[in-house]
Amino acid sequence: MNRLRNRFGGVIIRDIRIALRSGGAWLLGLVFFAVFLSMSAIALGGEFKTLRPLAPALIWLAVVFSLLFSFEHLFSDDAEDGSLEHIKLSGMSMNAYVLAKVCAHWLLAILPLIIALPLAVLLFDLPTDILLGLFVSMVIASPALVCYGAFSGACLVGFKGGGFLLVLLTIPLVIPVLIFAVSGAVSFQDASLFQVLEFQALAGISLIAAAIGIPAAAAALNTVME
Amino acid sequence: MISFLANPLRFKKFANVAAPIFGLLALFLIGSGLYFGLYNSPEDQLQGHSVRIMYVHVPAVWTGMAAYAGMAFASLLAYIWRHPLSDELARALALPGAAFTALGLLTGSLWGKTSWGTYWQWDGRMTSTLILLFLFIGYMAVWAGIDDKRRAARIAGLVAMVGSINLPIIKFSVDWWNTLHQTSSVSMPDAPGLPGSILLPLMLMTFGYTFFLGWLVLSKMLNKIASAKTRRKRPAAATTTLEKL
Repeated sequence: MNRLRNRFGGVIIRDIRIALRSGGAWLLGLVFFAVFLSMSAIALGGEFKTLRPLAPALIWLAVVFSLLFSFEHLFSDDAEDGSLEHIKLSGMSMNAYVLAKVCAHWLLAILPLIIALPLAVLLFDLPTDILLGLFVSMVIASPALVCYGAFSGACLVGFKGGGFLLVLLTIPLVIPVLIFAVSGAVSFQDASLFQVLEFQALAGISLIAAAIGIPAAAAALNTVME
Repeated sequence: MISFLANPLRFKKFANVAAPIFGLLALFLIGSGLYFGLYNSPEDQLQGHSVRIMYVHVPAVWTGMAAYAGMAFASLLAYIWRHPLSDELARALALPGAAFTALGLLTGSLWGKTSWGTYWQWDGRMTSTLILLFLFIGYMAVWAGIDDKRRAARIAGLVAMVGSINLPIIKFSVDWWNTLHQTSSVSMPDAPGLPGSILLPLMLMTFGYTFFLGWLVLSKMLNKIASAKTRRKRPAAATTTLEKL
């Protein structure tokens, strides 16, 4: 048990260490998020009057797309340099490995976006309750995003130019998240946290995504080594 | 039934007999369905002749959804028992399923233009059908993109299964989203409440489409079996040598 925990933590720490040594490449998702939001504001004319009602949807789109592009290398780097085989040989279960990768990815890709949310809200001059709503919806929905993304990323290990296909595979799974998260963030204003129906649905989707996405990703990774 | 057909030889025998029967049945049913639908059925009180689009449209979407369900089920069988025929079945269902779904969307938008005045509406039903088409395209792209066909089959099967688990969630969320945004929604009359003159061509067309799908799938699988057999054969010995050239 103790050794298992060591391995689990080891994968997380290793991923974070690799990311920190990548010369800031792990922050590119955050840069994409900022660029996407400013481009949308420019394309829509830059008037706060028109931007304000669209802002929650735009911010959520920016989150989804910046995450989608980050999953392409989640497993493929490990598969290429042979660490995946080592993990398999070490006797660590694939599910535990995927879970550790997902946790590390949450810390590296989603946490920066959550921290950057107040700045994004400033760009659109939104009231604070929408910021809170966006914050809560992101925390509740992020497990679903990471688990489905990990599944698509695991499916496309060794797939040349899989970036677009990854988006195509993940988008249908993420549509319910997008629907509930945006309307939940908007309707949060005058209700307490667990009275918002959308957040309950989001929590359910996150649980289902973890229950399906992680074993499916592990099964897809196992096919790499068959 | 499934274990009987799991034997490729028995399957081949069955498919050799069944494929032409399915094809002829499809021809007959779709032909008579078109006759009853286009000439021998009443026009709608409000929509006039444009209601006849329904006989092409509704069965297409139904068959598309049935194809996805079959694809997910065949993938499950292939995942558990690793049976290559099951993989081929799932793969053979994908393209016809996508084509039927696309046909349904296309005819639906034509029908929508004449009866609602717009080609597209972000209605729950239409949106979820569009997402179904995306799922089909993703599934086919996985097959096309992974070189190792055995691995492609495993991955595509996983994609189909995960997608099928998510379809009800997608459907629910899209319906919920739609009722929130759109107050006046145009819904179709309930099928059991339809008069016989409309129901008959609709049913004929539905069974016709289903047999057409069966014919397509069986012929494609026969084709695959034959090409797998030729691949296993030794290539013929060279009849000419380099010196002669």
